[in-house]
Amino acid sequence: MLRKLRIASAMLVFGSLTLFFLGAIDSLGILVQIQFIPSLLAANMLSILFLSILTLLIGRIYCSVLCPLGIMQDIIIWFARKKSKDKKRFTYSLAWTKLRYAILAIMALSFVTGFVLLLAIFDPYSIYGRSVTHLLSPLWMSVNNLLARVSDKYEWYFITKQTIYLQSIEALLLSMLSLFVIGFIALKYGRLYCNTICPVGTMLGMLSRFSLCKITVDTNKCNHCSRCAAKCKSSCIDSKTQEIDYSRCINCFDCIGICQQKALSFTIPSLRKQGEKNTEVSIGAVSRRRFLTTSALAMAGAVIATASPSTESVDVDEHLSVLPPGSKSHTHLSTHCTSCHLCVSKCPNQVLKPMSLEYGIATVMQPAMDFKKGYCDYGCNLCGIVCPNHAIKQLSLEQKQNIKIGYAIFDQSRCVVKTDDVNCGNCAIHCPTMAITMVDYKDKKIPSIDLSRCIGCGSCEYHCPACPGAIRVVGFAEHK
Amino acid sequence: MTEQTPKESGKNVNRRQALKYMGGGALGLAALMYGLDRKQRLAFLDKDAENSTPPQVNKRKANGLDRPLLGFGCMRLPVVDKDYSRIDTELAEKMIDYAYRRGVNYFDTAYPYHRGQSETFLGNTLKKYPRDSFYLADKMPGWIIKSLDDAKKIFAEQLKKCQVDYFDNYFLHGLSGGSELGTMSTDFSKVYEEMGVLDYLQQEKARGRIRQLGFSFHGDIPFFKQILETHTWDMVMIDLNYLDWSNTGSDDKLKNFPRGNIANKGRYAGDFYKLLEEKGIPCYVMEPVRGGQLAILNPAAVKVLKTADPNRSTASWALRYVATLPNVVTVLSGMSTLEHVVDNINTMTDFKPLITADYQVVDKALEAYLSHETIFCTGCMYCMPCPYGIEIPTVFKVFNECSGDLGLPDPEKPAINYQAQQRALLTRYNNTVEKYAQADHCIGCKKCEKLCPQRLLIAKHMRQIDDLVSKVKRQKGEF
Repeated sequence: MLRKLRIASAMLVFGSLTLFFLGAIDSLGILVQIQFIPSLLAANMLSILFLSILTLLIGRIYCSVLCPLGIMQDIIIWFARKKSKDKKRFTYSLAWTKLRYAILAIMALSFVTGFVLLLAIFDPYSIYGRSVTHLLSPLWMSVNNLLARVSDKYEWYFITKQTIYLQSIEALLLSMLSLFVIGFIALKYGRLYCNTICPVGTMLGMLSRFSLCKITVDTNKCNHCSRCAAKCKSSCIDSKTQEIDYSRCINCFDCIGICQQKALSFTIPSLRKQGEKNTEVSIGAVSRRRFLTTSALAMAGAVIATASPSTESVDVDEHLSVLPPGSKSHTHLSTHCTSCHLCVSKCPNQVLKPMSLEYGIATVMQPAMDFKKGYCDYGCNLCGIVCPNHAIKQLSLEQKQNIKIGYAIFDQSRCVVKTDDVNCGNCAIHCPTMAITMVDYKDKKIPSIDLSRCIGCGSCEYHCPACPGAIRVVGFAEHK
Repeated sequence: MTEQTPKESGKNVNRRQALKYMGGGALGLAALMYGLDRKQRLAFLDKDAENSTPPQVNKRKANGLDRPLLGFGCMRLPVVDKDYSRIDTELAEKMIDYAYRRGVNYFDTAYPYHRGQSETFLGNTLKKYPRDSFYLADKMPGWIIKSLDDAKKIFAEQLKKCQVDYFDNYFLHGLSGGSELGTMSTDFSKVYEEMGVLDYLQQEKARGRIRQLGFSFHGDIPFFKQILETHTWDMVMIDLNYLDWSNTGSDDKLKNFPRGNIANKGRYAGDFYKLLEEKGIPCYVMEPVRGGQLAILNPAAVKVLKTADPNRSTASWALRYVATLPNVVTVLSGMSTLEHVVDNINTMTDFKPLITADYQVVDKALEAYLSHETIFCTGCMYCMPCPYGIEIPTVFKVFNECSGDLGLPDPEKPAINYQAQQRALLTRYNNTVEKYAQADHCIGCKKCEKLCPQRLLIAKHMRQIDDLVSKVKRQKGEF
């Protein structure tokens, strides 16, 4: 029963999240907002509090129901079990405690120093986001385009064709690599990734050992058959000693149904009848002090990272990329974005594109404006609304329309008015803030830019007919 | 319980069947997309080739010579991969054979058609027929001629490409006002009179390499009169159809609607026809269906025509309208699908002229048609390629189709079906025209306007379409 409930809710979450990413549905963005690492980076205390209390009450349910990468691993394991003739069996193993905490420490360091690339590589939600954006989305779009072609043929215009192109080679390769590695680990060792590498798994594991409700073994009924251990994806049930490692148990409830002795149940351990011997955490336990120090470290990091992003000095001239409105500054974005690429797949004008290595390793895969395929529409503030990390802050339309993310530079020698001797003015026509006016130039008119009005939306660069463009937009290191 | 079981099982089967049909349907649709259509057409044409004595289209006499009422225009032949310069030769040849068997033996080509491929294709296709069994028309592209030698070279090249010794009809291609249409139409007096190209063509006529000499025309009335008076012509080709005929119909209500060429007020095709009739010069007709526009019209106008006669196609009304005029010799139609060929031949076989009641039907249909906003582009592609990459005819086509179909969305005064209009416009526009070829990239250089035989204010229309689309997009939240 519990297992079915878990599977049903996990499928629901996974399905809606994926559809949300693919753009098929617009609601349920809340599922993105409660992802753990993003909430931490966004200093979204409400969400962190909710997840902590949830974990303290009923264990690491987050890992089996809310984390899309966790659900994805469950799906892979389920498929493998269906396909293989001899059923996949897991065995109990000891936790790699030292490795776990070492990785967590590195992640915490990455978080504190603001070099979030490491966090971006290992955060489960971001891995999932990149995989959907760069691997699943092209497939989805090709099916969509095929359907569009068929329906167009019958003059039934309701499916919009999408442009498929390679957005970022780095993100594509990285998501292929992560999926391959995680898929391989999942097939071989179940949830080993979640219980050793994943920083969220480690952090929630520290809480879940103190959780109120747990899976408990009735030692009187258990006959040490180890069926539960073979079924356990987390390899956390030791049937010999009848003990469960609660720091690794993700509450998938697979073990409860499989036990023929009905020895396993999900209850509050202290409510059990007296006289029965209950098992509690003991394996791989760390001291409470250690737990407290680590969480204090994490909290301190959160405070530092969120409170003092602008104190670091940035060399203005080095950064030319135009960042989405709401990202405040190059420092803010680079210290908060874990490259889940939700903004990239949601951007209706396809102007957001993951950066390559051109601006250094720290900003690789983070979103920036690319005005070749589109421009930042004056009436759109979607990226800020969807970003769970608050790397792109949510802005009202009015705020967005007044933030200067960059400024336009006009190169007269490339302008078609000069080179082709034609009348143009396409930049001025499409400028939403009327920052461009056409001034006399011989017998024609040539653009002139009023920088006090320019907000750097890139509409002029996109609409410029010259090749290479006569007008281009350069980003501000700090948005004004 | 016992009652429910069969019901449930029935439901299951239905669902499974439905899925099966859906799967099959999708496959079927996919198959249709990939060429079965074309195969079926080819099979139809092959089978028809065994039919030895099909009924023949009507004939008319001009200057004592026989001409079929319908001519095969070779400017819009079927092409491969939407590439205008790659003619689908197999299909096109069989379409031409089909027409030839039914007495449609007048073929019209020109130097620029299909980027020069039309003449070559016709030469290859017609060489299997005796030269005296078909009539071939070609044209002198005056706008690229810089000297008399150019003209001589081009004429020789045309004969060679068409693999013939003479042309039955030869036209000076697309004469017009001169100054206005710049490169497209030459300054008539400069090229044809001063350079002596017209004299040269007269010599060719005397030598027998041209049998009949005339001109095709897109210009204005004074210029038309001038050419008719200063030279003698065997025939003239003008664009003529019921939309461009005059500014008012027989019905007074139509006075409120712009008729004739909207962009060039005061230019009515009917006036040109009347001048030719007065002078007794045989009239050849191009654009009788206005580049397919009068074959599509819009749902309201089609309904009017279908109510009047459900068995006649929309295009047949346009053909009959011009073919009813007594001074018209041959009506050219640029037929790009087998359906066009079959339909047009049916119309022109055992031809039924329009009677008074029919004229009223046409006027009613026109009224319905003109009540929707329309850009009068015939899709002739003379404007292409645009130096800034805009697919001008395609953009206009989408605009017209949306306007005629559900109507264009008006952000100021939303109609009841506003949402559907929005969606239709955006989807159709996005799916038909690539992003970089859309109206927002038009810089208004107006090079195309000098090339447009219809003299459309292309830049203005582009601005209008861009404004509409961006407004609608922003409202819908799709940018």
